[in-house]
Amino acid sequence: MEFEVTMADIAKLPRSSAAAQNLCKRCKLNPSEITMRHEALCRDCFQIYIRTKFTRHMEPYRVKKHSVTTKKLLLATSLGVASTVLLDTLHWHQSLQIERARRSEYEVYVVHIDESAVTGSDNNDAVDECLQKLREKYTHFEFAKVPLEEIYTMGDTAVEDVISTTGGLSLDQTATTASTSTGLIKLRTLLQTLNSRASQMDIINILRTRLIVELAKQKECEAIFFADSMTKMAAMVLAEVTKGRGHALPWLISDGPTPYGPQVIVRPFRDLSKSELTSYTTFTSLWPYSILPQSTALSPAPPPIKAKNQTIDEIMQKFFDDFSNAHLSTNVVKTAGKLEFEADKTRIARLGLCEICGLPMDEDPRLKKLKNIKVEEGSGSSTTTGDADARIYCLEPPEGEEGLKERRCYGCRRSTIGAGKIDWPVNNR
Amino acid sequence: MHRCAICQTNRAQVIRPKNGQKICKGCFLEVFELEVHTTIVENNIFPNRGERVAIGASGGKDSTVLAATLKALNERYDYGVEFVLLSIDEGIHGYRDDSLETVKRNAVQYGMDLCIVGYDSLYGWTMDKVVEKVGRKGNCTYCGVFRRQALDRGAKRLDISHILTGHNADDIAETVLMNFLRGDLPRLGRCAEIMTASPTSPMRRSKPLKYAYEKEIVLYAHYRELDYFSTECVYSPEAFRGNARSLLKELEKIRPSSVLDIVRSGEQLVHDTIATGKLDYEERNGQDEKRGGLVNGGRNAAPDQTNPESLPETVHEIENKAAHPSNDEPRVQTIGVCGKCGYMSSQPICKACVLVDSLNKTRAPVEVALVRD
Repeated sequence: MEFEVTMADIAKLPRSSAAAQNLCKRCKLNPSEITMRHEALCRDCFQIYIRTKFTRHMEPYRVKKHSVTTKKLLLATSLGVASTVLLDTLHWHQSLQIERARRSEYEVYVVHIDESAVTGSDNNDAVDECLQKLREKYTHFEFAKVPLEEIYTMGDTAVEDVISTTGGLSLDQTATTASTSTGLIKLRTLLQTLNSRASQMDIINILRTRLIVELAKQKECEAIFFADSMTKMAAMVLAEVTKGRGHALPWLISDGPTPYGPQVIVRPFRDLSKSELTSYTTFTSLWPYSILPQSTALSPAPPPIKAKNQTIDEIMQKFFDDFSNAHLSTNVVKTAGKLEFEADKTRIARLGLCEICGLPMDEDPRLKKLKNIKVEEGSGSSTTTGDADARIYCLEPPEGEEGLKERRCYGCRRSTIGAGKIDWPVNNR
Repeated sequence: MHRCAICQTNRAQVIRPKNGQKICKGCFLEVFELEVHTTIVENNIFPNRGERVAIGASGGKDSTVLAATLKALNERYDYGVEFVLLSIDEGIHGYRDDSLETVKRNAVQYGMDLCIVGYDSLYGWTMDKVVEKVGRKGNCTYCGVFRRQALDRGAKRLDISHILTGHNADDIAETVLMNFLRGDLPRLGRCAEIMTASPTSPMRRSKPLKYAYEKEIVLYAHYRELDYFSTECVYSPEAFRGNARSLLKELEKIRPSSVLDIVRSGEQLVHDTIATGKLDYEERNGQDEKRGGLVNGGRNAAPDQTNPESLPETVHEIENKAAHPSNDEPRVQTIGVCGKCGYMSSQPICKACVLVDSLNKTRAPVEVALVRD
C-alpha cells in the first residue's frame, strides 16, 4: 500500500513550490496579481512595465542640458480610462524630471473636447466634476474644455485676436459667446446633411482631430499626445479601412509629423493593450478620475439597442474588446505600421490634401494603372463614358459638384455623400 | 409604388446595396452587366482577341453568374475571346459530385467546353480521404494548396494561360480584413488586385466580379433563373474567415457601401506595398507561359480530358520536363522548380508535394503550420 497517496500526504507536502509560483516573476518578493503576456507580475512591477513602455516614447522630451525653452505638449483627453492613465504617467514622468533635474523639459496643456452639444450626451456635470478632480490632482497641468463647435470660430478669431481666444480656452463654458452659438448652428447643419450616424461620427472624429491640431497651433505646442491603446488603434485601422481611407493609413496611425502642420503626434500607449491600461487604473486607484465608472469599463458592453445606428468605429471597438479577438490587435497595428507609401511626398505635391480630413488624397486606381502600364492602342475606355471609377464605386458626384473628386478623398466623399455643398470650418495649411 | 430610379417607368423591385438606389428588374440586370463590362474594359482583362480563357467553375452562384454574364457580354461587346469551363473535383462526396453535375449542365447551357481535373488523379488523394486521415481541422489547407495547383495544371492542359475566378466584392473585402487580422503584409498587398500573377503560378488570374456584391450576384442568378448549386462544403468552414465574414456582415448592415469601401482601401494598399520590379516579372512570366503551354498538348485533346480515367496516374511525374522554365533569364524573384513534380516553387519541394508526402506517410501528418507560406 505504499504507493497509495492520501489527501493527508498531499497536505504534508512542502508548499514552497506552490508559493513560489504565486510570486511575481520579476521582483520575486511580492505576490503576483496579474498575468501579463505570460508573466505573473505584482502590481509594482506591472506599474514599472507600463511606465517603461511609456517612457520609450518620451525620448525627445528628456531633460537636456542646453535646452533653452520649455517644450509645450498638448494632451488630448476623453476622460476615459486610457486618457486618465496617460495623465497619470505623464505626471509621474514630469515629477521625476523636476525631482532629479529641478526643472521639467516640458509643460502640459490638457484639452477635453466637449461634443455634448452634437452627440446629445448629458454627462456635462460628470465631465466638469471629473475635470475639477483632475485639476486638483495634477496641479502642474493646465486644463481646458473646448466645445467642438469652436472649430467654426477658431479660424476667424485666430486672425483677428489670438490672445482673446487663448484666454477663452480655459474659461470653458462661460465663454459661450455669440460666435460660438453660430458655430453650433453651422455644425448642426453640417451634421444634419449627413446620411447616417456612422457618417456623422466619422465627421465628428475628423473635426475633433482638426480642432485639437488647431488648438495646438494656437498654444504653440510642438507635440500632441493621444492616449490611444493598441486595442484602440487596431479598431481605428480597420475602421478607416472600412471607410475607404486605406490610402491614408500611414498618416492616420503613425507617430510623428502630420500634414496638418508642424506639430508631431505621439501615442505613447501604442504598445499597450486596453486591458493593461484598465488594470493599471485599478492598481493605482485612478477610477475616480475617469468619467467611466469602473463597473461599466470592466463589464462587457451591452448589446446595442439599435444595431443599425451603430458607427463603424463602435463595431470595430466592440470586435477588439471581445476577448477572443483581443490578441489580433497586435497583428493589425503592426501590419498597418509596416505599410509604407514611398511616393507620398510626390503624392501630396501631385494630388494635394483632402479638404475634409486634411490627409493626402487618394488616387483614381485607373490613373494609377495608366502610369504603370502602357495601355495598348484601341483598348482604351472608348466604350464607356463618364467617370468609370465613380460608377464602379457608385460614388458619382452630385450635380454641380463634378470636381469633388479632386478635392475630397474617397472616404470623405463616402461620408459626405448626398450632403451637397458643405460649410467646412478648417482649411489645410 | 416606387418607380425605378433609372427607367422611371417600371416598378422598383431591387434596392442596390451599393448606393441604396431602387430600381426595376430589367435595369438591375442591365446595370449589373454594365458594371462587369466596365470592370473588364477598365482593367484590360482581355487584351488579346482570339485568346482562350478558362473560367474556374464550381457550379456555385459566383462562377455560374460569371459564366453567364461573360457569355452575354462577349456576344454583346465582342471581346473576341473563347471561354472554357475548368472545374476541380476535390472528391467530396455529397458536395462536389452534385455541383459537378451542375457544371456539366452549365457547359451545355452556355455552349462552353468543360474540363474537370480531379485531386484523385493529380495527387492520389480525394478530400474525403484526406479528411479521413487528418480530421476536419485544417483540411482546408490541403484543399486550398491542391486547388491552386490543380487549376494551373488544368489550364495548362487546355493550353490556356488566363484563369477567371468568381471572387466577388464580399470575398475580397473579407480577405483584406483577414490579412490585417493575421498580419499578413505580403498578401494584404496583393489580395485586392484584380489581376494577379503569382511567382509560384505561371497563370494569370482575374476576378471580373471583384466589384459585384454577393447579394447582387444571388439576385442576378435568381432573375436570370440560372442553374446553380447552393450547398456549402460539407467539411468545416474556415474558422478565421468566418470571423472576418461576420464582422463584414455587421459593417454592411450599418453602411452597405462598406464592402466596396474596403475593396477600395485594399486597392490603395496594393500599389504602394509592391515594388515596381514586379511588373517586370509579370512580363517575363508571360513568356514562360507561352513556351510552357506549347509543350503541354494541343487544344484538340481537351474534351477527352474531361474523363478522369484518361488522365495519367500522377501528373507529378509526367510533367516533370514540361514545367521547367525554358529560359535562363535572371529573375526579379528566384523561383525554382519543385524537385519532385517539377511544378514552379519557391522552395526545393512545392507545397502540394510536401502535403502529399505527409499524407502518404503512415504516421500522422506534420503540423499544418509548417506548410504556411
